[in-house]
Amino acid sequence: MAASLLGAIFPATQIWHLVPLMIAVSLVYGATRFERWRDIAEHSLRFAVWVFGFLGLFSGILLWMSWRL
Amino acid sequence: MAEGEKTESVVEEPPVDLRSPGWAALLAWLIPGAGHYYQRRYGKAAVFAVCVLGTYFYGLAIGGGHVVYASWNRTDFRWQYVCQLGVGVPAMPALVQSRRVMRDKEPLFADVLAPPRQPVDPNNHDHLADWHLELSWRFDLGTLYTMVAGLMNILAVFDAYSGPFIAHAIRAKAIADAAKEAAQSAANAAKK
Repeated sequence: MAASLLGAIFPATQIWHLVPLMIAVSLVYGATRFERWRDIAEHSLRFAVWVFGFLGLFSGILLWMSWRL
Repeated sequence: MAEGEKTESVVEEPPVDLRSPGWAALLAWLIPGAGHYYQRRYGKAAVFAVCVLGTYFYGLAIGGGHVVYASWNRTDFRWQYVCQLGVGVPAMPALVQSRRVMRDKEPLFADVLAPPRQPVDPNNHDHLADWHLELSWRFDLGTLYTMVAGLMNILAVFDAYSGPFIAHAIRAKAIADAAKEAAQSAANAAKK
């Protein structure tokens, strides 16, 4: 059940390519806004969580729509 | 209170020695991380080099070496190359490859960074169509990766030129606050 649900959410391998891209973008964006490592790390983490949350939310909505409609 | 904490962090922001900002920006564009290395910001140099170059070469590898190329003709206007050129030197061989292909010469390095053979005809089967068939979604994903790498390096170039955005904003705010305070005390003195 869990495997099929995961398979439905991540049907293709291409979505996994998003992970390194998001990590790189978060780090670079954080590094261009701050100079101290602690600030950079905090900002990068917040940014990554926000982006993944946003994408996850919309993926969930789209999945629900394709399932229910 | 949160605002107070923010202000505290602002005051603690370390000063940044940008050395020669223009030169650093040029280096940062040509080789990701080099501008920051020149400014002795070694940690940032490593972050930018790894993230930008890693993203760029990862995208190039996914796309079989065909996703970065320069082509400016009517049927194949590769605008994505403008973003990819943000990476600097690693994207520049595409210009040499493009020149060779336009002059009907064989491209170097086994077609890597070379444009598709001409003519590109969107209505018929051509060399570009072969790449799309062969690489499928990898062509688009590789293009996206290499474009994002270029755009990330543009942010790094700005950082090399003027320091981190927050520190820059803090300096501007401090100047504005000082001006406001001076105006206030001048107004108070005039009243007295």
